[in-house]
Amino acid sequence: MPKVAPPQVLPDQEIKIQSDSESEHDSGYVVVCWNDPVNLMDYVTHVFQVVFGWPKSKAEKHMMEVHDKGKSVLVRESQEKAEAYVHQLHRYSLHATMEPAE
Amino acid sequence: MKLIKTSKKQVLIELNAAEKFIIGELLGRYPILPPDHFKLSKCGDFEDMEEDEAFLHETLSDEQKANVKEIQRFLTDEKSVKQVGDNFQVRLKREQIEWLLQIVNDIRVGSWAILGQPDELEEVDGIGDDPVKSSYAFAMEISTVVQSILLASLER
Repeated sequence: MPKVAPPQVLPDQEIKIQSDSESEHDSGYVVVCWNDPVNLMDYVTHVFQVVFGWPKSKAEKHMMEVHDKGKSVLVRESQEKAEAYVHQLHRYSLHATMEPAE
Repeated sequence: MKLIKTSKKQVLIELNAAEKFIIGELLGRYPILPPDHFKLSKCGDFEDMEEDEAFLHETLSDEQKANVKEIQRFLTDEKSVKQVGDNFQVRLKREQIEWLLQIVNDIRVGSWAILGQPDELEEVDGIGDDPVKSSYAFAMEISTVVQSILLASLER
């Protein structure tokens, strides 16, 4: 199971003085699925439905984006949640990564 | 190999003896993908990434070991695989279908990786003459059939 960090509550004063590099993490992480020529289109659609709880139409839209454009940004989440999603996608042998959101 | 019956809770698939043998051989190949096959990130520059990635790979490794035991249990469980006349009926609960999809796709993607990640199988040098390469290509094709039937069972 993915590691989950304990909740952190920081005083207001500390939030104001955080560095630029720390504030980069505030924008979260995107989970990206990358194209490969091996996974079946129906399979990828199914996995997106199961992992993200999406309706078939939304799952198909992202699957087609992976197929046509080489990748699709699936969700934007905190580091812990993004890691959990990437782990689930790896269980299904899909090529997924997480990247800092811009 | 054909889908006989589906309900909200389970599906029933019928195999002849040859198909049962081939499916057993196929599942016996699991796992093919090493736990560290996939990386957590392409950019690789966020805090604790190496540690988190190592943790995820360790978790995947543990899951693979558990899956190997579960495959053996599944194949020898008479409630799951029952002989009816000359054929065999495989009874799968919905959660087992999801599990089996993961297992079979590991075999499919792992075989493809070993073959050099070709766009088309015809691109693989000597695939018709090399029995090892041919066996991986065959595993990919059988995995496709199994995946298609499992996905169809979920659609019904």
